[in-house]
Amino acid sequence: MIGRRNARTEIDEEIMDHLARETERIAAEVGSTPEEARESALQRFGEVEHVRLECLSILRWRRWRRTQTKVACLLLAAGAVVAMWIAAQPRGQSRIQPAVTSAVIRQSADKRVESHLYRLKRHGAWDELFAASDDAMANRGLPAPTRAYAVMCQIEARRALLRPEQKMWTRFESLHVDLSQRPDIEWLVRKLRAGRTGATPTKRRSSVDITTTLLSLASVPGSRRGSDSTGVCRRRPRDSVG
Amino acid sequence: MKPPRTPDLLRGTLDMMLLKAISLGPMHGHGVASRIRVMSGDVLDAQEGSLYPALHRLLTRGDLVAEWKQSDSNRRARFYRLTAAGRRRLNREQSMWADMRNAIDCVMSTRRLPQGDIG
Repeated sequence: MIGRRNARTEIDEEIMDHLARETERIAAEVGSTPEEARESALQRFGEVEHVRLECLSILRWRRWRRTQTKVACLLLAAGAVVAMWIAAQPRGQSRIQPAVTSAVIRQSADKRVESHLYRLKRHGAWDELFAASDDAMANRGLPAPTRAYAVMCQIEARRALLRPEQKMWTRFESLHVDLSQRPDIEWLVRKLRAGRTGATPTKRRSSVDITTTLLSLASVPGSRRGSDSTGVCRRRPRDSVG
Repeated sequence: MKPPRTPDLLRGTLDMMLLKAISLGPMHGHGVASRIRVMSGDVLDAQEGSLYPALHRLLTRGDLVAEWKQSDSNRRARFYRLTAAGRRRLNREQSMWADMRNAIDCVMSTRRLPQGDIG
């Protein structure tokens, strides 16, 4: 209140001083009476009250900005003091520091789990995704958002595993085909992999071709027992297929 | 008798002229208006209605500082003084004004458009 009254008084005083000087100037230049000079000075000045209010509003805004700056400085200083106090606490004795540290570690663990699930999903490793998301869902230490993400991943993995392309891939894997001896079915592997990872397969071969080839592979006698001249072997050729 | 023709101040030039007038030495509001009148050869007249709000605005921005002092006529008055920020602003606005004046001069001194330049 005192500041506002002072500001108003200062503005009034300034305007009065201006009017007095202007009156003197007009009286000296024109040679009119002081009353006439005062009248013309007031006329020249215009709305005194309007000017006063405008100046006051500008000052008020200035005061508001100063208050804002002071509050911001106080908050910054308080933050700095708290940070210094936390840093000055000896390890193991502070209540805040372990809490902050464990929160940081927990957050990084959440991020690790989420990024692992994301990577598996991106590469179409549905079996691994299914298992990893199962583990994440069972882990009570993880926060709710991460577990929710794991649930979504598991649903997606379940859907993918039930897709016809995935079923075909599973069927193909169960045949244990040695690809080094069967370069003629390379297109089939490419197609199945593309369908499994969700990539857009080429349109040159239809699903009928794929099914027919798979059936022909499966119908080879002794395909599940041991290797023969058709390249179908007992052991799973991880290096060539996976 | 025709009233004397006093052109209105261009919008945005009042602050620059106030800064220039005050840069010549600390002065009170009435003195600043008088300086502008004298410097412009009695052509420009800063209206008091806009003079004091402009001075307070410059004060708020930190371009000016004000203090109460005794003037030559032994009267107490509020004197305005330019700060370093105000001097920088004055230099900036002066260069902008020079560019603007040159551009307007170019426009106004054109007598004929070059062929095929428009449309």
